[in-house]
Amino acid sequence: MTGADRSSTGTDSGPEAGSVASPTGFFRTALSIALKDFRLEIRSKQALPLSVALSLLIVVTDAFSYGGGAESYGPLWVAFVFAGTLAVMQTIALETRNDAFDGLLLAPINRTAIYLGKVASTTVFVTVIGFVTLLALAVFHHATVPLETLPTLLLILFLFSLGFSAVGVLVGLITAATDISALLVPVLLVPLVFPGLLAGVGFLESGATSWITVLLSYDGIVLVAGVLVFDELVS
Amino acid sequence: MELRADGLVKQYGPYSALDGLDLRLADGEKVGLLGPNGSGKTTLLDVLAGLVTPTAGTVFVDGRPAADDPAHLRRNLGYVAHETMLYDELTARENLGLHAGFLGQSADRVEAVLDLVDLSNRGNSSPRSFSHGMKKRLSFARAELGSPPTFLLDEPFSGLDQDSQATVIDLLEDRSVLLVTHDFDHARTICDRVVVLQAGRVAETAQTASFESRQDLRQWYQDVLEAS
Repeated sequence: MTGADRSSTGTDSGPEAGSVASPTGFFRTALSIALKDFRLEIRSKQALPLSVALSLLIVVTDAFSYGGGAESYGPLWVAFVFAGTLAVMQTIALETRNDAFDGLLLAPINRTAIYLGKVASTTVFVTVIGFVTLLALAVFHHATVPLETLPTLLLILFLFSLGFSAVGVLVGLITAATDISALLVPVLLVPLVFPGLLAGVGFLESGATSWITVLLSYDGIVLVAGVLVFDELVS
Repeated sequence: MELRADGLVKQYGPYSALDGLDLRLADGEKVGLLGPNGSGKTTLLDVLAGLVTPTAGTVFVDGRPAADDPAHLRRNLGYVAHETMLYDELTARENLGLHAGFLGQSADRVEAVLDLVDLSNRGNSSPRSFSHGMKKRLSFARAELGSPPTFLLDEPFSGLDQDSQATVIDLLEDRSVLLVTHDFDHARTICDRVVVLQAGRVAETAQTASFESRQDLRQWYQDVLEAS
């Protein structure tokens, strides 16, 4: 088989896997990326255990500082944000080792599907961290969560995690090549998730559902922005 | 597939890794890239592969700008770089399975390329446990999954034993190849043409048929570096 033969048989570009023209392929690719991330986490046990441990330490330290008496969601957000940041950094570290992420970029797949797959997996990780932090808060700060408000609270945690991950994946990837990514990620990420944080805190303090709209809007904006800039950023 | 680079510039701050580089890789041609460290060889491969966006200049694939149809380029290109581009937490078989899925290839294709690089019996092991040569072979397996007509190779023979080198050389037959190497033997015996890069530009090019021995090529290379 000659080079010319080879380029004209079977290897020519078909529809791009995961292309917008093929929504099934697009979502299948995003799902493959997310499932790959779950498998990496199960094998490496890097992101979740470390982040949950950090989250618990923050909650416990806070409880000791205030004598465990302050009924407030404050420690939830502090622990959530910093443990979530650690989770983002760990998942990105697995991508950059061996330049594995370059392998994904070389594949004939829609890069938006890569981004959304990574956001999906990171959202799951961060939501789990938030849930564990909430449980720790109940234990160490005697925070009571009425059962009827639990679904709304979990929704808030999920929505915040979604926006947090949409920004976190971008920040993690663009800082990964630097020598000081461990410092840069929190410094860049926390200000960028501040609107989502404000909405989450606002809802838990006031119970006003308008904060959910703010959080949804924030998620929508950062997700669209992420989709628009991802290809450019990773190149 | 024909690859052409027109006026490629890649700047990292004040440093120019590529400085107006022009290069053509014809369909079925094998070109050896020679040059001292820091001359822009790896950056050129990264730009051609679409991993790095050039500051200026254009990459053409079969006469069309690569940016117009990046999937066409990626589907027809196999890139073996310094790193494996694979996950240590997945087995060799799982890594290849992930990439095979992206290419629309079956599990049979994964087994075929594992067999090709003689890693079938280590398919369920992590690349972390592999020797340097085995990692290189696994990288070839990843790059070969889609049977691409064009290969970009960055020092592909380092760490490979003689048998593995022969396997890889067989694999490259009838493909277009851009081969970064410091090995004059490989450059002379595998490639149709050699190109010397110096400071991000093409300093000189020559047909390998014009060199009677490895020593001839080495002498020519040193003369080019001294003159440029």
